[in-house]
Amino acid sequence: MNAGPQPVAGRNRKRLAWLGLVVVALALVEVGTRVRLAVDGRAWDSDGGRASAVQALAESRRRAPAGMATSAGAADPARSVLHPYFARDTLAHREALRRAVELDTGADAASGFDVVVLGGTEAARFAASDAQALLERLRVDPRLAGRTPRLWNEARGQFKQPQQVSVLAYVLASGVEPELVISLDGPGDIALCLDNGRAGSHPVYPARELWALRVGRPVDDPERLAALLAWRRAELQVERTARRQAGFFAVHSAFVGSLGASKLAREIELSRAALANVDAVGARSSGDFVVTGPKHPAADDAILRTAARAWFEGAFTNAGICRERDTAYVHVLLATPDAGAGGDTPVGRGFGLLHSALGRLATRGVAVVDGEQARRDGRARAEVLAERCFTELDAVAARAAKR
Amino acid sequence: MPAEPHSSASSAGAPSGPSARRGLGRKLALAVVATAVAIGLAEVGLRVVQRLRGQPYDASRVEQRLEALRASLSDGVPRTHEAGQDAAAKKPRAKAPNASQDLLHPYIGYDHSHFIAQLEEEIAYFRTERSKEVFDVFVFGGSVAGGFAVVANESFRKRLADDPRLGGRPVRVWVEGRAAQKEPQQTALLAYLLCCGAEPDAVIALDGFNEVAVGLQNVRAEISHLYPYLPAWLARAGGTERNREVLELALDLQERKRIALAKVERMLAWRVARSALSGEFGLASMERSARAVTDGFLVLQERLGADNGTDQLAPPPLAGTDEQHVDRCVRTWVAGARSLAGACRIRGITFLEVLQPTLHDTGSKPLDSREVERGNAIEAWTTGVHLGYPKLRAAGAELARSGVAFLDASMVFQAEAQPLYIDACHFNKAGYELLAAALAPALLDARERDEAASK
Repeated sequence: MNAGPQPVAGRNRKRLAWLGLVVVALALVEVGTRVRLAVDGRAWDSDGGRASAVQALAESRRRAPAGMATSAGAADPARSVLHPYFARDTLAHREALRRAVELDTGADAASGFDVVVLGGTEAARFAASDAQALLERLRVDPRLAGRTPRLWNEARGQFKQPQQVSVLAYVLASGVEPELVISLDGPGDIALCLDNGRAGSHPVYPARELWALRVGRPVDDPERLAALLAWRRAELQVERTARRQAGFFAVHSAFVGSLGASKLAREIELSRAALANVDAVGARSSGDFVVTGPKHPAADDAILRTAARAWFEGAFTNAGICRERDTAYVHVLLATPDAGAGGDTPVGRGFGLLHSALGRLATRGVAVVDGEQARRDGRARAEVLAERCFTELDAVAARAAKR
Repeated sequence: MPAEPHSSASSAGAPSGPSARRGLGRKLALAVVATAVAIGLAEVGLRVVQRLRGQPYDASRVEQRLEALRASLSDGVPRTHEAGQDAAAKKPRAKAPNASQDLLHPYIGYDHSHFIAQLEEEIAYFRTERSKEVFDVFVFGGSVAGGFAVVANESFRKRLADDPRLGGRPVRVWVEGRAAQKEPQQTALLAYLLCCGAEPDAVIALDGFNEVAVGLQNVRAEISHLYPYLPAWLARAGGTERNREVLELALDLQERKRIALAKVERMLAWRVARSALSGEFGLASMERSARAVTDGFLVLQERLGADNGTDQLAPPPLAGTDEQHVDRCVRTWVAGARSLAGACRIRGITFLEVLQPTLHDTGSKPLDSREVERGNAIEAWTTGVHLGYPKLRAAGAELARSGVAFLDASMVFQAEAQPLYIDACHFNKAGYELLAAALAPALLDARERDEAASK
């Protein structure tokens, strides 16, 4: 067909007619939408449309995976914080170590005699009470040659090996060079390892309660990150649609506004589902593995063997670290009511293993105190410990002099 | 050939039908051939230009660089732990619950899921008779130590095993280096492994760089040099999730990393290095992607440092000048070496402290242009090395005088003109092999001295 050129006026009329038709159609759609909404009992409200879009935007910004909104918290000295090398610390301990570093690396470093106490709850109690008597004896002892004894309580509740080694290594790495290190532990190591092992955690991992509470969800978990990304994409889509909904056409047209509102509702649902997925993935993914650590047999005897080995190796490592620096080291195996139970209870059996380990430490030249023996002999723990500390200080001086 | 019937369209000059299709086919074929010839010419031209410039195209160089980029985009320590190990070690590894990833660890800040998952079977090995026969060497440190124990595993093992001083004992070299780790992490890791039941015969600490470079980097971000590598620690300790802006940056970084990693893996799978054209352009594109990751990482780090909430997760550094901060980093390194030495000496384990070589240590190696180009590092690293390495050498000599076995390997590349660095601190295979040649006799000398002292 050979279509010739149409007259310009005719073409414009045709275009105008089409335009008029589109406008009428849009108007009819708009009116139809308003009528349908009114019949459904949801009469179109332009202000309400804008308000709900703004609300959706605000809500979208408020939604967050569990834990994200946690505030940093007040600087309470007793506040427990996550520590990279021994799982948990307090701001008070952190501050005390800072003071120790300043004193031990400052001009008056030589005038002090630093005593570091390591261990768990019982050791922390000792540092707060019995240790004062020890400090008094040190203060008047000629071996100190006028130096002032300073006690650094590095024991923390629920600590067990290898946390005592980690604390000592960290204190030394900070620049503090103590003259005497005292470690008091044992029964807590056994009880906490048993708790861990029975709950499915590795016995050598920190006390489950202490560690599990402190461990956040790792943000670099690829599965969790993928879920986070999906949620963020959905959330951004909600934000984009909500912004459009607050725009001119969506507010003034029932047709555009109601279409947008349905879209926004769908996207909000998708965003909520994506957010729920983030928390679900966080709950089931690496979180548990981070808390439990490597696999370990669940039988009590296997746990007890591991606990006793960890206790021995931890004490032996601390002794080695101190010996390398000519620092006196005394290890106290604390007494426990379970000691009398012998093989009757798991803790009693574990304590028996620790007692054997204490013997091995002594044979290898580590200065030890048997708390149970001191109790049976009716002697005060502080008194026995003070004697052992002085013997060890003499032994260290003799070794140094020999070199 | 009979004439084709002509349509009205053909009369207007547009051919159609089989003849037109053949014409189109010929054109397409010509275009394909022309493109192929152009690519071929470009390939030859590029190779000629590179040769004339004195740097002929080297496919293995491009391949190695892509491998290095892939390693640094994953975690810096390649995972071929089984390489060269004895048969007992070749059992399938325990499976981590998720794909390869770094996780929060209670004693060393963070650890790779692979290491956590395989601990049980590694400890089981030490309960076997076989372990009594084998001379087990643990190599601690950062990613350079990890790379050394993987890349030079076979030659290092052979050098030790062939030495008559070991009396024919089989040797196993264990990868205990973790990317970006530094003292006191090495000490804490050894203590943890010993508590779990590990019984090494020898321990090597191959470190120094992270202590001064990453240590000062932490200080620049207003956290203590003693704490782990800042982004790794804060991301895992929960700081990232608490702050939406930080989370956005972390997500952006993760996305960049994912895209870059997928890209480099595609390039390696397609073996783009075989062609100079695809190799050079691919590598340039990959370098840009890697830089985008680094940029994202620096922005995140800056934001993490500025986050008040991080104060709960990492204490600020003590006040002081760069010189004083680096002095503290060196003191921490010395304290770590002495702690490791003490933990080993009391058990009769041979210990060797090794100061690793590093690119920005002036005078430690004649650098070629590619090493200079790739050796770009952030200011904290270069300052840390410039200020720290002379101090580390002096402190190492002091350690040796106090009885700790020490090898100053910082100058081991001093006479090597060949390229050995693949970035600011990691080496290629030749570099690791040179290090292995220096370490093996030093370790056995240390063992000999220990044996003489114990008699």
